[in-house]
Amino acid sequence: MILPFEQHEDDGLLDVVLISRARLARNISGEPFVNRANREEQIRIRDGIASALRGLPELGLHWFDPDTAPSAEGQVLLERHLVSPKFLEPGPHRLAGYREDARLSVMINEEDHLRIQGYGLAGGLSLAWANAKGCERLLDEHLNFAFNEQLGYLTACPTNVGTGIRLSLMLHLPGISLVGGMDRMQHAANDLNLEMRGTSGEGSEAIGHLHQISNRRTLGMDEEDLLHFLEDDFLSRVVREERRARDTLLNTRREFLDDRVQRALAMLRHARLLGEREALDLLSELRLGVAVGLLTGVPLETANQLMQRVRSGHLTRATGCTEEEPLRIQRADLVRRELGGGTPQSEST
Amino acid sequence: MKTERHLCSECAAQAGLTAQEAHVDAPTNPVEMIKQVLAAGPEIEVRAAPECPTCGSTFARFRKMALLGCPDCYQALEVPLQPLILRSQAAEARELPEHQGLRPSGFKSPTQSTKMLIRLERDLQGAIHAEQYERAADLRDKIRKLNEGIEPPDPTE
Repeated sequence: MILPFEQHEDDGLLDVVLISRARLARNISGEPFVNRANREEQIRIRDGIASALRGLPELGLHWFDPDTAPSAEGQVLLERHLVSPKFLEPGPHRLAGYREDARLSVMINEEDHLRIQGYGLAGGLSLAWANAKGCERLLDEHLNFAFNEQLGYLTACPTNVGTGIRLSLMLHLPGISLVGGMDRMQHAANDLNLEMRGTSGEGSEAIGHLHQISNRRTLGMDEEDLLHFLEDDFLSRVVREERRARDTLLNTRREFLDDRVQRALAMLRHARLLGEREALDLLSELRLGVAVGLLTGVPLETANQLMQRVRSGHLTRATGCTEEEPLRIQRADLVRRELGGGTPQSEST
Repeated sequence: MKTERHLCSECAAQAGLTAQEAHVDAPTNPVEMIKQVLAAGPEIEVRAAPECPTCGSTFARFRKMALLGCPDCYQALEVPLQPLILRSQAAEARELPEHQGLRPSGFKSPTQSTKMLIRLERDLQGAIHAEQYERAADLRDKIRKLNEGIEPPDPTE
């Protein structure tokens, strides 16, 4: 089987969609779920799955053991969405594998024995799904997954039973938010049986106008149907609404929008101390300015990358700083450097 | 006034269902009735006590953790679990939809008669819970007839 990692992806939705993900939950037949497994069972499950994965060098996985690796490394993987917050909690014998290009990751002994995550940028939900499926089908030849005819793949939490799939999209929705349309969007998502939440998972706040959308239903609807439903019925609609909201703001409240964007740019270019949350909120405004064409000197890609590079784990890895205040200084330095700020002369570059 | 009895109050409480959800009313014990109906069909398990024989997980544990203990819990705790799964997965449907999508490559698709058997067994459980004993007896006969007609499933599968 040819894995789709190298496939080119459509970035036509990059102004609204940041990351597309497809996650599959699987468990080994005949073994207790992680929450019920004893130490020996957890180790046996981990080693069995890891050995199957190691036998598949074409997946190109690097390994991360949370028990032995430095915690900053885990934080970086978390910020890249390659592992979940739950995975980093102290717990059973866990292990993660990931591709350096972040197209694929696997978590062993998180809530389920195995979680496979495929990734695509922007509108790459099909690619995310293809990546996850490719890995799953390869493993299927080596591992015996818990499955039954009626309920499909059996998972520790019944909300995942069936396909075990969670398709999710990270969306940047400042337009809808500024025109006061988030409540309506929330209701629309709810009516379509989709979950809408902040960036850090359930119940979390939407930092930087970033929202995560994912399916709730996993039983009785096959993966491809779900994919098409999400892409055709939901995503296209949200993208249209977000673009329309941005156009409306641009046409009717241009100064209001421009003021927000220019203030954000000025802060980012001149601040000497930047907290993570503040940086993300300002970068969100900057990204909006770039996307609607109010800022021309900054590529959208730079704004996107900065939204990841200002995260504490990434900064710690890049600079070696772990203390809060030095990190704030480093964050401000990084942003100034990337956005050509600092001195009046360099602002024009 | 019509009185429906699906679970005894003890089972319902253990299942964490409210009296309304469980349609619990008079303290009659339907387990005995189920046993009577099933007496002629030993292949059908009585699943009145929600505890998993494989890992010992109870529905009370599931309610506390929102996690099941092992794959077999799905069968062992089927009665209290099913309405929850239905609500979270397909609120609009009356019965659980069947899985659609990827399946393990080694997992053989069941034959038509096995599928029919699964459906009849599910209907039988429903009939018993709805106290439709005539219908249950009828279903039991159908199951027996079907069981005589088909090869027993290969235990190695």
